[in-house]
Amino acid sequence: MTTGRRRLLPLVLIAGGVLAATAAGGAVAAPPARAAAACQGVAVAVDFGSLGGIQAGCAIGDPASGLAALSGAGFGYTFVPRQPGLVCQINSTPNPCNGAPPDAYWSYWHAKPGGSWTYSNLGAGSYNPAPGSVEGWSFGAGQPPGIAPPAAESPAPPPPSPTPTQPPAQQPAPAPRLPVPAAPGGTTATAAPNAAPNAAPNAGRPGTSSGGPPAASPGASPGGSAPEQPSHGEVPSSATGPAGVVPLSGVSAGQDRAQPPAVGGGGRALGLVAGVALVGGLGCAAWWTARRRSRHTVPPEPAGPHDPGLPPEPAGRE
Amino acid sequence: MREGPGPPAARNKGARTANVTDRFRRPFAADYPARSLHPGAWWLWALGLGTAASRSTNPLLLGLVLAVAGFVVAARRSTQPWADAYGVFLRLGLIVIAIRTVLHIVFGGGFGSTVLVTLPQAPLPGWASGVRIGGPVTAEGLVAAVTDGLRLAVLLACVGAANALANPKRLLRSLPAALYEVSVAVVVTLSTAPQLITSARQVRRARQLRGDRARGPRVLRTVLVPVLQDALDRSIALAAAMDSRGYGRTAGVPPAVRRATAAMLLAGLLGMCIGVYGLLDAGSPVLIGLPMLLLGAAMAAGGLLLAARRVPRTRYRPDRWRAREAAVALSGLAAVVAVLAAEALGDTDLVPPVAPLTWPSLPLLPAVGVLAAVLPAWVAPSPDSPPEAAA
Repeated sequence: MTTGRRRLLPLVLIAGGVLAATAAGGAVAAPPARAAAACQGVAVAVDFGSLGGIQAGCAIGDPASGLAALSGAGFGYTFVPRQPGLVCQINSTPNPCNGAPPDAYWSYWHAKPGGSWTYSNLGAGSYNPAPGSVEGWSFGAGQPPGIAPPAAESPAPPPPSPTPTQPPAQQPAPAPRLPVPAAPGGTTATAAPNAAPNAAPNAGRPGTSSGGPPAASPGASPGGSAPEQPSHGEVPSSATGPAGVVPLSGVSAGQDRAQPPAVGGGGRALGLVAGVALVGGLGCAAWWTARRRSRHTVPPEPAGPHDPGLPPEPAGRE
Repeated sequence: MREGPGPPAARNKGARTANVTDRFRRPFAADYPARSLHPGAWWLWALGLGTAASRSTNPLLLGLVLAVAGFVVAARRSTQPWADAYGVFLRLGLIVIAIRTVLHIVFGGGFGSTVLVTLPQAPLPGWASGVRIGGPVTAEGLVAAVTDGLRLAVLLACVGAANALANPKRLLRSLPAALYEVSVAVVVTLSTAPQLITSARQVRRARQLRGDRARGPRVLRTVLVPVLQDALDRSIALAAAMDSRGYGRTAGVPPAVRRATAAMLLAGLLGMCIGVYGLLDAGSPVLIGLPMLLLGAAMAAGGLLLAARRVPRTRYRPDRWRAREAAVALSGLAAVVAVLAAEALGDTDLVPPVAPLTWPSLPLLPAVGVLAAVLPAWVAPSPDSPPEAAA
């Protein structure tokens, strides 16, 4: 049953207000037309509903799943506790995780560029979005994102002559961002995530990044503040820019993508060691007690032969 | 191997007639070697531990619950036939974990990025697109499945601990009088398996002493017939004993009261069903929820009280609820309270995130609460000790 639930629920993700979604969408959404020109991969639109505006991002290349696209586009997510696979928070919204009730959850949508949203009938962990398609996440009672699907393009085949020496600050041509490992020398900072594993540290692989930079508070930089030429002019300009994340419309490079608490620290290690010691010690004590007691109480096999017709054990008559 | 502590002298009386009188005398003599704790206390303790375990997927905390329950069982279980239940439930738990893991691997939900192995994926038609068979197996999903199975296994182990520690027959004695026919049936049912085992053991031993070393299908015949005959004899003896003690007689209750009782019980149960539905379904009117549930519960309770008038009944040596019972029940409650409090405080160690994978760490408050539940290992009366004077 858990499995069954997990299949249906991941379609759905978290948070609070539904009413503001449309208004916010109209106000802050980046113009889809411009986005269309930008994303070479899977475009991701996240509608925070009443908890924030609408943000969009771009997962470059061909992410393996909807969740990979989500994190590849610069959004962090966490699951509902005890229901892995069911997204509870995107970019720490809602905070705290509300357990994804039917009227305030993250719903998961697909669209063709310029098309309309369709509710996903697969979990985001199972669905493999095609390059050039659009993914939508909407918080609320299952209404589609309040923004027309931003366009995305399939990565074009690699042009024969990429410009390997292009400085990262330059407007990246589509070619270097391709997932195709075609240009060995052309590892500019805009290589696709799965083609540049050793790129900037916080460009981490989907789902495994931990301890990203502190998040800009959701909604602080809604889509409306997108640069005129999204991403291409300035975002990858420094080494700190996440290599695989090209903001599509206002998703800044500093989005926190890893909500899990930072691993490490003496307290957690101590907790692990103490827990193992405690469980082991108590288990040994139990085993020893059981042995001692079974030795003390010798099984009282009665000496005499038993008549099969004897009455039941004394306990049977209580 | 484990036998009841009945006096050997009484057992060796061969004659059937002697057995019957012996059967009646026995409860007064050696049936109660030590005061046994009220079974309800054990059940409350175990359910408390189980509830605490069900709120967490932290393997350290679950292991602690398992160890605490195991220690208490090792220290305080009796030598009755049901005292081995803990081990049986532990094995059942292993099966649960295995099933949960295999189901995850076969129908696994897809999340996590650490792919361990990619199984061939069965192509399914479009209408079954929500189902996946095969496909990549990720470390995150596997850990989630195993810890989830472990949670269920620990829950089962807690039930096993209650089964090992509490005397089921004494628990049934504590049921309300209105349920007495049901409880009689359940007692007879519960007694069947241990009695059959005892009977088969005795028949086998008798065969061995006679030098009968037969094997194969013939054993079935030579064992089955005496065992079945024994079971029939026992049933007749039990029925006679119950009849002679007045079982089945009902007090003269006017038909109007009887009808009112039935109506109240039925309406109460119906109301409770509707109330639960209303509580769980967010869309239904508020009046359908909690008020309906309370009304139904009140009517059912009233019906039970009325029904109890039909069965005037005394209890022989009733189990009393004393300080030890309260301490055992409270120690189980401490585990639940600690875990729920940690949950309310937002302790992330209760459910360690699986994507990305992290090492679990023992959460302090729930660990203290669960450790408090080890107290019954000393608080509960030891089955080895001589009976208390007050018992």
